Amino acid sequence: MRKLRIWLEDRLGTVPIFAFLRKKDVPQHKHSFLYYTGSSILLFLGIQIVTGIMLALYYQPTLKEANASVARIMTEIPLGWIIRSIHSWSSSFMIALVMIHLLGIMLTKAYRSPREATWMSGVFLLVISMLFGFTGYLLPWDDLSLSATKVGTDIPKIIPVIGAWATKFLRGGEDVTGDTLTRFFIFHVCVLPLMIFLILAIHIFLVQKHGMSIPLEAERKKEKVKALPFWPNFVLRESVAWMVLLGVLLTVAVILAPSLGPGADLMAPAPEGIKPEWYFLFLFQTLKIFPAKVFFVTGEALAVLAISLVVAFLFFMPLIDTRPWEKKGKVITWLTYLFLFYAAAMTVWSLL
Amino acid sequence: MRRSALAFWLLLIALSWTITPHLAPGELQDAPKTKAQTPAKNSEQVLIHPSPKNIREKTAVFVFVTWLWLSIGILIYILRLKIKEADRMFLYRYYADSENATEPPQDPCIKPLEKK
Repeated sequence: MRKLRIWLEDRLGTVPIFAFLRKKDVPQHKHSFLYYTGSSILLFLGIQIVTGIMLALYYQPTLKEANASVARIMTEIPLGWIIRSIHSWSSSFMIALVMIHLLGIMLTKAYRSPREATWMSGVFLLVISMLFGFTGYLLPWDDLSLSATKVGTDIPKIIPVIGAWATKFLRGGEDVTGDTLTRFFIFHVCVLPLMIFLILAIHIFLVQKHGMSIPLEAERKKEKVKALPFWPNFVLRESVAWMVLLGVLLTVAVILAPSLGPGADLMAPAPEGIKPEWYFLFLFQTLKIFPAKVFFVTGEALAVLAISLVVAFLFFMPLIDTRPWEKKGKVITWLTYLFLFYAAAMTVWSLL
Repeated sequence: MRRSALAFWLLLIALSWTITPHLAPGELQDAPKTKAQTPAKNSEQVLIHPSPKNIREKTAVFVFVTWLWLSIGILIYILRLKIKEADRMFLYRYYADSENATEPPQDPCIKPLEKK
């Protein structure tokens, strides 16, 4: 066994990595819980990959077979329904954790120099996670998913110059058809995973390079923050968080397994009560509340412009808030709370 | 300089947003020209609920969830012991470099062995 370990260490060059992990410290303060969200996101990503591969073994991304294959997974394949349920719920958990992670960083101002690129890669990861949800929503190919995708893929049309092309590209034609399904499947299992791995690698590298941030107060007062070794003290604590999250995920997946609607009919009118996944609800409601026309601009265009500006602001925030770390950044804090309140209110309104 | 550049780009985006839809409204509002593919008609398909249907399955689910949380509880208990142990090791600087290592606090109950 020892020989094998030495052989592997020689070939893979893992000695410096383990030496780094042994020396790595994790600061301990009142916001330390935010560190656990990062690793928990990785846990859910891992679950997504494993369950996704299992589902892909039986799923067929064609117009004729998509809905039927999902129905088969749920009714005929042993434990298929729970695998699908875990896949669906872990995606929601992952996106929720990514949002909590980013909001925590926004509130603690951990995006400031030298961690600007880390923040930007994090926003990228949030967008990719949401795209995973969007592309995955169509795959069961039922009435609801088809209508929601029609609405979703219609939005880029408003973007000037490239909008119409973008919609055509996403749909693989003028309308949502079997080609869209195949396209979304490829995005879901090939393109987006490649992107997420690449950006995740950059993100983790940057986190290691710049180290974990500590609260502004501690930095301002030049306090020495208590730190725990990453291995084994922090990893063991993380394992407890993972256990609890895993328990919650399995419980929810077993009790609230998602159902499957009848196969989508492309010619049928859109069913009532189309709703996207919960993390798109506030955007969906934002699009709905805008009037048809504001002066000479369509309300939809204005809504998409507003959403795009918010996303751009989020992405470029470290370049906008370039104040030194001594400053508290109260404006950003209040904007974050305002955004949270708005998103929650819109989501609740959409559900009513 | 940076602010004026930002303002310029924002103005450009806002203008393109407002003007372009009016330049080519026909293109944007086009109805699908090609007939969409027809789906496979499967009239017998209905909403599938994966939740347990009979009392036996329902019981199985609750038994599973109970066992799951029981196992997690035991695992967390073991992990807590491991955390305490790891923290103690850290406190006593068990793994610290020999140069930085300090003497661990002595247990007053244990008397050191006397050398004969």
